[in-house]
Amino acid sequence: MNATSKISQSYRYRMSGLTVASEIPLPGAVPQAADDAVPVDAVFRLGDVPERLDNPHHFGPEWFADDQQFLLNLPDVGRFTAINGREIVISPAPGMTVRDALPFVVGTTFSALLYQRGGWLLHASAVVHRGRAFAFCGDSGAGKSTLAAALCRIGCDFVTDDVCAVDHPTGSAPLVRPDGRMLRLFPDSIRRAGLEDAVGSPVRMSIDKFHVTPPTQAPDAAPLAAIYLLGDASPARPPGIEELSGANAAQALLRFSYRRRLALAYAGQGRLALRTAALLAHVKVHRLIRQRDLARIEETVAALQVHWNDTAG
Amino acid sequence: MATVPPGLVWLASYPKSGNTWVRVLLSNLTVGGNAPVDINKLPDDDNPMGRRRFTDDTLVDPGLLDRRELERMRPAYHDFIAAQLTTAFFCKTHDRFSNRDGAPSLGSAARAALYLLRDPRDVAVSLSHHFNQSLDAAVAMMGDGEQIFGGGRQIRYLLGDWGCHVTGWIEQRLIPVKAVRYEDLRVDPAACFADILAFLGVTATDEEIRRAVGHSDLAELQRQEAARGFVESLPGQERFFRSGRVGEWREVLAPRHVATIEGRFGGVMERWGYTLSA
Repeated sequence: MNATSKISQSYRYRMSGLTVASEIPLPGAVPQAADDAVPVDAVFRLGDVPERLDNPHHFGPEWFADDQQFLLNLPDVGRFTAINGREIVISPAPGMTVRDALPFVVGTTFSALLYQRGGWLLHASAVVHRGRAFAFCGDSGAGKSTLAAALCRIGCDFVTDDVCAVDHPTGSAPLVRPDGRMLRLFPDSIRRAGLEDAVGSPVRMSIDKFHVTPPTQAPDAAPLAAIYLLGDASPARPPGIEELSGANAAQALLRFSYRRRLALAYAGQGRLALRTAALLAHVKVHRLIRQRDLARIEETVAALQVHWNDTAG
Repeated sequence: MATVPPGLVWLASYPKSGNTWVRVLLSNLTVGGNAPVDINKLPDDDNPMGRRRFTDDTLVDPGLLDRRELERMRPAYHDFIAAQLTTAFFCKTHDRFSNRDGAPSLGSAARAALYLLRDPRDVAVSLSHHFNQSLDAAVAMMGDGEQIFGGGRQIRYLLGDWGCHVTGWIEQRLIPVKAVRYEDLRVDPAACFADILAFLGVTATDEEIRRAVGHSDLAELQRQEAARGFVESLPGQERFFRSGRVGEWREVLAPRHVATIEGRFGGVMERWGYTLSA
């Protein structure tokens, strides 16, 4: 059965290298014109989702994964499942709007679908500068989106602010794929990046974070030139950029796999290690220590520009 | 070498009540080295109170959850962590014991809890220094039943007011708990620490305890902070490890501060041996 045959009216998106058809609009995702000539890779639809999976091989407090399915059951928010790398089913909790449940679909649940298809994701923001992509790994709250917004302000093209899909065909250079979503920023970061005119809907009605249209979007794939790990400066650790050794770089990339436990569930430690080793043959990993103070973000941007000029190849 | 039973133990307290000191004591005991542990390398990398660990285990960024949704998820999250543990894990928390729904904020699967409490009048002095705020603001914070803490790299959590914090932890019956007064720990750290270890089922020799206490002396913590800073201090904070004095409030608080604290929390204070001034 064709993946799209189940849904009558669909919204189209290009997300992390996949063409997605959804029966509901995805706020914060950049819509694409429907083109029957372009095959649909995955569908999003509303439907029933069970409470749990019976025999998961990986699980957490509120999630389950087996070979075919991933299921996320968030109390008072909803249940979401990704099936065979082809389909996502969304079941909002009573009293929860579909719209407010969707951030958990386009983030975590869609990442499970990508992992089911053999994808590889970094927890990173990324921009393209003069044809080269640079990724910035960091935990939630580390400032990935804010840095991406500041770099867009100086003319970089936006790739992603959270989920960085890495596509590394054997024998070729690694590429990054945009997640097809807008920037998501807090008001102070929006003001700092001068993007007040580009503010759209809130990410969720109950949180103070907004979708923001980036000045320019990157193309569907861009060669990955370098990866930076975001770290905070302190009296003991001054700002700067330093290259990581191979072993430390490999460890860091495993740590910064997007939703690391899903990566382990579907790719396994061995495959992740092989991919990491292959990537590190092409791409250097650096630690970027910078002042967290938003008022000093231009110093970080300037340091990166110098670094990119020094390493232009 | 001290031996510690496996499982999760909460080191719970209202802020500025000696929690970090006890973490340092336990760390020095379990490491058992010839030199004091580095206060910037306390075993805290995978802290369940951090956004990173929460996201890693639950696959959900807590920054996307509203307060109520986060509170609904946390008991199961902490119980999941406790169930996975095969070694000992002492985890610092300032969470109130019960959330707004009356459920245990941190679940109920920890094997024990150590609750540190301190004279709230001295807590007020220490809080005002810690947050670089007025004493009026510190006293108001301690009386706010809806006080929220955390944020940034930490999960946001309900702290509540001082009195409910103390009684919530000490009077709950879901997790075996031992209450320890900061003042008693200051007077006789070795004896008090030995009591704590006995409650936690930790076996250690007198020499190991004596050495851990020596390595955790306030002067040592201050020396390390002066030399290399402390990762848990706040930006702009002058010092994390300040005087640690008992009874400093007598020289610092105005009568109105004392009256507010004693008026609000007098019952709990007297129950724990803090003599009221009025």
